[in-house]
Amino acid sequence: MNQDRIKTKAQAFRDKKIVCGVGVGLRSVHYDHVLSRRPAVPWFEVISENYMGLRGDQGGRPLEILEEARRNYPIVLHGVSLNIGSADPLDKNYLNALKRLANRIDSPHVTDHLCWTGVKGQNLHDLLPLPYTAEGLNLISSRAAQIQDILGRPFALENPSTYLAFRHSQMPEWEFLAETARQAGCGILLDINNVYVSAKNHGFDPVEYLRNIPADRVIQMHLAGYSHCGNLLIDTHDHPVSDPVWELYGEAVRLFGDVPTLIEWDDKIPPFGVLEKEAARAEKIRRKILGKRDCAALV
Amino acid sequence: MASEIAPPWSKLQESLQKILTDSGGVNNALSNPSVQFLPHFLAETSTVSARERLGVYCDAYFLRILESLGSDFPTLKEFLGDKNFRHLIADYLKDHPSRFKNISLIGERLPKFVSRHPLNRKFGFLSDLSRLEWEVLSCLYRDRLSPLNLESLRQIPEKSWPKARFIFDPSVRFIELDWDVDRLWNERMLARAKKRSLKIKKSERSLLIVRDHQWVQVRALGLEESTALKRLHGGASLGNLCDFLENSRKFQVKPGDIQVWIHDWISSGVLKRLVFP
Repeated sequence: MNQDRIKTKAQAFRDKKIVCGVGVGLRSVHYDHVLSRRPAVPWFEVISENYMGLRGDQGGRPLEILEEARRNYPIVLHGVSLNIGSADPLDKNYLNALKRLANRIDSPHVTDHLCWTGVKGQNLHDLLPLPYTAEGLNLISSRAAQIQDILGRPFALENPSTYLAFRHSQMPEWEFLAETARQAGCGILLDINNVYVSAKNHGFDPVEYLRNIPADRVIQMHLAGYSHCGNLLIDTHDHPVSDPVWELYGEAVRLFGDVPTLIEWDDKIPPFGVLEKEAARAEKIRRKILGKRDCAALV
Repeated sequence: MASEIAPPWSKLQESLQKILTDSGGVNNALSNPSVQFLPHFLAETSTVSARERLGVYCDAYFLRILESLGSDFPTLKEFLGDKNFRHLIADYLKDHPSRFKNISLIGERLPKFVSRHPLNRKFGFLSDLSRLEWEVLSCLYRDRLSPLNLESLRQIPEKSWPKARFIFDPSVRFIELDWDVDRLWNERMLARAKKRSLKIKKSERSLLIVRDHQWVQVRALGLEESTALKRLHGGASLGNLCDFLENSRKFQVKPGDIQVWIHDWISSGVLKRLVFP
């Protein structure tokens, strides 16, 4: 797939608005509620690896549930083990399994993180930070293009929360992310909470970060809660979205417009109604900033 | 941004990985000369040192896997309590770091590891319990065939039945254990105190594990039922099975028992297809 075709695909995705409004992360504690009550949520996002089977083959019960949910909702795949920034080569078996899953549930786009998760075949199951260098940019942008090509659908990279930065980085994260997306022709999944957490942890201005992200590349946003740990903020996904992150989200909506947004909550998961309230708050901010016209397609 | 001579991409990651997975923590890891170059390349602020920043990732590595294994081996965790379970998993990760995309696969070698662990010498059934929980998890990830319609069986001519062979659901597993840990597993919803008082006995168990629409069922089988089911699973026709049971002095099985079993095996999703070769 050449660069132009990739761009066309990403643009078509934005235009079609296959997923729109404020979705929620689907987690196992809410399966029964979502399948039996069919809450009025416009779309769900799931962690890809949870539905790829133990060895990327049979999906078993988790995949049965996902397919049942898919009958009523669009579902977006969000991965945590792509390991795009690793010194190890890309795992083709993993990518093929991911492609099969994306095809099976017709995920409008697929996302993962700007990070590495392990090297020499190990997986630390964490989103580990990268030095933002020209070498890294070449590696990751070429891989992102390759991944999008293999998947045959738009692919977007998410900015991670980081607690560690490298002295030999040659550019700020926003520049690295924007340039990766431009060179690869892929999208950006902008996690507003992660921007805020990393800004506090490393002492940069989160609004400057947002202003340097190309709006035409942002295909999705994330909102989540963080925790305090001494002098650092930790992206724990176990709290409501904090006030400064809501404020930053408003700025992001002003800059990037009508971009589908997702509420993530992965630990100490509350009743589904709490997630719906968080989604409603995000929707209220969107409507206030975008006005009725832009939100016409939203639930 | 500072421009320094960057370490090679792979060396940087291998060194970081070595530090973050060191069970002795960051300070212990940094006593290894091969990784001592790394902090020089990490940015610090006046309030948070590079070691503290490494510590966040180091803690997260262990805690995330501990939590995942705790949810995949809930009965083992609850029986051992947080402290012993944490100790067991720390030991396990030293020998078996994750090489998997799906975090649940980390537990694959836990039952074998537990069998050699000092905790299993104290509680002899831990190996069986972890094996049962691993088989339950594996069963959950297996695909199922659609149910066999009991009504459609009525249309099969009586003379065809002896030739019938059954196709089992792919999720079905048989395991043989030395302890009755299935009682503990099946009562896992009980309060911790009650579970603690449950006495696990040494007793040979033949267990059937199968996935239904909701979850996974674990059932202890008697000798006759276990033998019958395994013969069918091995490819015997219904006629072969009846002949075997009739001619065996070991079993006291009546033809009516087989009919009840088959009805039950179909209802519980164990048998999924019928073929007449």
